[in-house]
Amino acid sequence: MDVSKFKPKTVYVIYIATTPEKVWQALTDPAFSKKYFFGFVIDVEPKTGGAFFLRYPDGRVHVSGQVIEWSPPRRFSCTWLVEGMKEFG
Amino acid sequence: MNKPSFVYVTYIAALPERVWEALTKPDLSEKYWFGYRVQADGKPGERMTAFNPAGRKAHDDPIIESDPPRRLVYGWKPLYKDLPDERPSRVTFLLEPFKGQTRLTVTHDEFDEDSRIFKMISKGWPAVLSSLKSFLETGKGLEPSWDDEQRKRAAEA
Repeated sequence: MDVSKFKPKTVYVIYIATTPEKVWQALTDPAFSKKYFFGFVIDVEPKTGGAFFLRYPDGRVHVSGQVIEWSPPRRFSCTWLVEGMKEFG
Repeated sequence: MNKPSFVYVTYIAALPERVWEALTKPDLSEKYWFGYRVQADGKPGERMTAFNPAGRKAHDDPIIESDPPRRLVYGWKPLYKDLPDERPSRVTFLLEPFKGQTRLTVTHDEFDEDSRIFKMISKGWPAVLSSLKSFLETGKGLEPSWDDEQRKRAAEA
C-alpha cells in the first residue's frame, strides 16, 4: 500500500489538560502506555523508519508497523498492521 | 448528495446519571461548556435553551426525546445573527453504562447539504466533550478552544 496516498477513515480529536510533551510520552513510552492502555505496551523505535509494536500484556505482538514520522512532541505517525490479519494489510 | 453527520464517542469515568445532569443543568454546564448555561432537563416538546457567558440567548430549540439517563435528542439552530441561516439540525446523546462508567455517543446530523454550521460544530464538539470528560473526572473543565476575538463576537451577537 502507498501510505502517502492513504485517506484516513477515522479521525478523532480530543483536548487534554496537559502538555504535548506529556502526551508524547504517554504515546511512546512502554511503561507509561501500560498504565492506561489496559496493560498493552507501546514499543517504538524512536526514529522515522523505525519499528513499531503494540504488545499484549504478555508481550506477544498485537500490532506491528513502521514509523512514518517522528517529530516530538508534535507529530507521530506509523503504519498499523494487526497480527493475523496480514491479508488485509 | 452530501448530507454530513458528525459522530463522537468518548468514555467517561462517571455514572450516566452524572453525565446526564452535566448535559442538562445550566449550573453544571457553565463549568465545562466554556461558560454557556445549557438547560435541557425538560420533557419532549419543551425547550432546550443556552445562554452565552454574556447572558445572551444562543439557543432556543425543541427537546425531541428525553429518556434520562439514556437518551436525549434536541434540535439545533444557533441564534447568532452572523451564522448562516440553515435549517435546524439535530443532536442525539446516547449514554450507555459501562462498568460504572459511561460510553457517551454524540451524533449531530440533519444538516443542510454543504452546511457551514457542520464545519463549526465539527470543531466545537471535540472541545466541549473533552471539557465535559475532564470536568466530570477531575472537577475542572478545560480552557476554551476559541480565541478572544470569537469570544467577543459571541458576546455581541
